[in-house]
Amino acid sequence: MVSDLSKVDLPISKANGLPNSHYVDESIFQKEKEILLFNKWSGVAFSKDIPNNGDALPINFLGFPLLVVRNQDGEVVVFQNICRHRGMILVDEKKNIRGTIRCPYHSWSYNLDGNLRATPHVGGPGQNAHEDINKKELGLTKINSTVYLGVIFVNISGNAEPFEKVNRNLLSRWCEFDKSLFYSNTDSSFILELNCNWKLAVENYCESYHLPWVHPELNIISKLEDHYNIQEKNEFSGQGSYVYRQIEDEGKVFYDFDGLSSKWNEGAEYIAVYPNVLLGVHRDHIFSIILEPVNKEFTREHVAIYYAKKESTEATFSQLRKQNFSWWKSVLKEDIFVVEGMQRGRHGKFFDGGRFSPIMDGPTHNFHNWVAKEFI
Amino acid sequence: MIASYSNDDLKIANFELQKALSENDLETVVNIYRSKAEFDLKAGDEKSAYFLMTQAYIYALEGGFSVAKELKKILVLAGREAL
Repeated sequence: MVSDLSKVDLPISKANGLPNSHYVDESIFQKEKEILLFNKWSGVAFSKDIPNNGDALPINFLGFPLLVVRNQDGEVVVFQNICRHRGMILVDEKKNIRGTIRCPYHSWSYNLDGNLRATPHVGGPGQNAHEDINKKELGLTKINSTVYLGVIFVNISGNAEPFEKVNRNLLSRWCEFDKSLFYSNTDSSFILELNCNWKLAVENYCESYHLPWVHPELNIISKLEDHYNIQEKNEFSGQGSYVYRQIEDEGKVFYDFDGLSSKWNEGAEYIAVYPNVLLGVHRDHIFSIILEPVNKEFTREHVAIYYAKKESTEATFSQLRKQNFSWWKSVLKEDIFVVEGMQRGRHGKFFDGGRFSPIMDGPTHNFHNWVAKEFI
Repeated sequence: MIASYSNDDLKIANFELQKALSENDLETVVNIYRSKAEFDLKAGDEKSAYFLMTQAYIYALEGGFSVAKELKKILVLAGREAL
């Protein structure tokens, strides 16, 4: 299928959006997998998924086998989840590893830093060394990774600039939130299934234009005029609000992050970090969303809510957490019909990518521009 | 440690080993392998002994048991493992 991107890069007043092929064509999906996801810093898991030293979580990210581990020093490390011997999958399900990662096939064993510790019978029965097998050269293949706002990002290709450099403007913008986060095991995470291409979930998240119609409950407390566009070329886009109000239960509210500037008293921001992570920050909690592109027309949306202070994760705040959880889940569920409707719309062969509102659609145009720039 | 292994002893050891493996009881797995390895070593059957000692070592590593160091030392001294 042809992918004509010549009109995507035009100024917003003249531009068209990405053509249908970027949402429905398998060959373009595969190309985007490499260019937009494997070559960049993609979100693949949450730090809360591996809370304890020794926790190991296998992930199939677009067919690529990853193993996310919290090592004995408490650091998150990510490996290609296959043995250096016969390419066998090492870990099939989430577990805690006290000692080594033992391949279930021939038991080559690796420590949690990926170093090859033992190669049983490699030189014959009961002979565990061989001059041609250099353990130092046969550790697990490490995948570049970093953790930001509770999300584990990986750069599978190994070719991306450091995360801190690629996202320097975001890190600077939100430096006040780059602190310890606290997670509760109750009412803090959920998964939504979306019958759409992952990019439509990005596009919908980063603009506020749809709020009055898709989220009418916001029209009284957080009107369209209370929002502003956020866009940083080739990095991220999103929306901000001037009227964030904390959830209350008989005067009780969640604890705030320490040292926030007054901007955040009633401010909140929601940013899509390219390619597939959606983040939201507030004075008392943040949420992180990982879009897992399963196939060209199906996406899993993994959502995790983190709190600013440990106290907010304790039993005394369970009612308030339940309210917060229900609020975000209902808001995000309200978006499902639009992203799925747009996906079905991408099968209309006369659709030209659409025209943007020059005022309201800047964040979406910014994302399409990034896709086009990377794709060409 | 068993003083000698009859066919019945082997059957029992094998049964216990399979049970421990199915329950992921690595400590028992290590003990069974090591016990039989030490028996074979005393009986002069080095080939079997170091095969079984290796099995014990690998599961001890997996379990993060301190005995892994001891088993490795035995294997290294026997020229069966690199330092």
